[in-house]
Amino acid sequence: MLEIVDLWVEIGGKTLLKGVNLTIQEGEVHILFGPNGSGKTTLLMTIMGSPHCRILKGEIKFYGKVINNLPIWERARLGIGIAFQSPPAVKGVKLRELVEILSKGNGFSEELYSFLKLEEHANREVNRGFSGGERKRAELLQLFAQDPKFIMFDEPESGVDLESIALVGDAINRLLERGSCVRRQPKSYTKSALIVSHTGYLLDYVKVDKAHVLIDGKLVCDKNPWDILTTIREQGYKGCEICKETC
Amino acid sequence: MQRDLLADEKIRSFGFDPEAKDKAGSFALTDDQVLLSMVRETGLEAMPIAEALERFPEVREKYFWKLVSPDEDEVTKKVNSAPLRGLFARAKKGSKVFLPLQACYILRSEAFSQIVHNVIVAEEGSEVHLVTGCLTSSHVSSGNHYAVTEIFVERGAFLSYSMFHSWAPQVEVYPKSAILVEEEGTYISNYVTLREVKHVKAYPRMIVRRNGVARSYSVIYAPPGSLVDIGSKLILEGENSRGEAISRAVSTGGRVISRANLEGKGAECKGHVECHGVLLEDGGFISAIPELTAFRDDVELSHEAAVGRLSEEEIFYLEARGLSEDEARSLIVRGFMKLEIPGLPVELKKEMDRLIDLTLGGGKL
Repeated sequence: MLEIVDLWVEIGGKTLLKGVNLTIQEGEVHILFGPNGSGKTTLLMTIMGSPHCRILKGEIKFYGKVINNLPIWERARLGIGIAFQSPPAVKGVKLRELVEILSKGNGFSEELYSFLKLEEHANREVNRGFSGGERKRAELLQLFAQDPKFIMFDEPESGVDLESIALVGDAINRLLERGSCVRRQPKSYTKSALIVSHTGYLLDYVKVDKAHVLIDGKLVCDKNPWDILTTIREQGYKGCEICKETC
Repeated sequence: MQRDLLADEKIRSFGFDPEAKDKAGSFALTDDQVLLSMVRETGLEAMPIAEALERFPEVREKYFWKLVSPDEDEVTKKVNSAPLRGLFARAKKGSKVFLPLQACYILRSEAFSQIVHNVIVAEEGSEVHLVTGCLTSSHVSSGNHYAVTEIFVERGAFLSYSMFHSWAPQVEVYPKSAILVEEEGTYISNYVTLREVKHVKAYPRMIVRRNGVARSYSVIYAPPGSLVDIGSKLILEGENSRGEAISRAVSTGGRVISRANLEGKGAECKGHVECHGVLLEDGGFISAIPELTAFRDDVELSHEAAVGRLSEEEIFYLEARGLSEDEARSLIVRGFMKLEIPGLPVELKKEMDRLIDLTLGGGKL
């Protein structure tokens, strides 16, 4: 579904991604760990097509098609979606209005407002005056309306209280059609995701197929998510560096 | 002739309907002729100002030239020396008129100078909503409109005054308005201009007494060739008076000066100014000029002003959801212009939004 080959990216003259290779198959969920400033958000923004991220070298392919030069909205219409880490307030545009635009013909269910505890936010301006957790949930709501095939989640659990992480986890499973209400054989999953996380708390709720560690613009490891998380918890990211050498 | 004129497409599209059942009354002036003057609701009066001066002595005693002086400036001098035309409207004491009273000022002859003097009164404890459309008929491209409007919101009354302007490229407009908001009264001004106009200059002065509230909203769309210089001066004179001046300006090449001047004089009065402007194209300018003056140590006045381009971050955000750049810009601009106006009847708000959609729908947005 998504194939990234030797990707080098700079922002404002500073090279932040230094030869990233990553392949995500249809139906797979990957998690990306890494310290602050390692380039995790840059990777997501480059895939989405942010004008600030300049590709120096390499290719991003989606369903075999090189999308390096596609406008942002065309990528979105191909089926790439993103839950932003700190989404901006959109003045004058109500959440319900945006959801209606995004969900045209998608069979969006009204019940999602209550599922995500956003009934009272529907008629408010998108993200304006929303708390951290409300913003995260509003991102998920918009993704339900948009219904992408491949979703990037940029720290969906940051700023969310421990109790609500379960809800975020549930919502991600539903978005990826892996929820308890959707009983399918693992092989029939079609939606894919790349989740950026600091904490790994989501691993308790979302079944992740592969994990990667990004340090200083390079993917240093891909292994079982729990093994990586254990290494990071016990030894910090230094542990990943050591592990990389022994790999 | 009357029906022909009111059937004019531009006038229709502007929402003026003399037969409308959802209006409390109608008044229309074309050039210097009163075309229509009628009221449906009890407790409300609407008539030509000359008739009101003849019938009610208190109009001259209490209202006429009482907030504005005839020799104040060129506009008032011109109005004072011209034959008397204009609207007198009054909501009687305690009457609540929820349907809007509509007034329409039409420039029908090329290069005509329309000169009017209006007096609007909301008597004690009354509620009234006035909506005025000022426009040129389809074939007219030049002319002038001079107006003096004196508005009295008496004790505990509520008056909303919505003014929709739709002029032509060679029209110059100089409305001179003054408003007195008495104790516990509320005045809402809602000004919308959406078409090319050579020059509009308006700077209403609002005096607010104890516990009174004045809120002024302006939505300006300035295509190339336009010069829109508008704003308001709020004098918060009474104890605990409140004032707010909020403007949204969009320039596609036109020039906009958005002023707001708050004077805090009364004990514990509060006021806020918000001037936001967006330039969608080069060729014009938007100048936001907020002024705040506090005369006491317990006054609270604040302002926020921002002019420039649309937020790139917001556009990127919407594009990442699959909206094209044009769609994202259009959605943001519409939202920017569709101000929330507390207290304005839903029907008027819908009408305002419809006119904004009409304006933005035809352009490259």
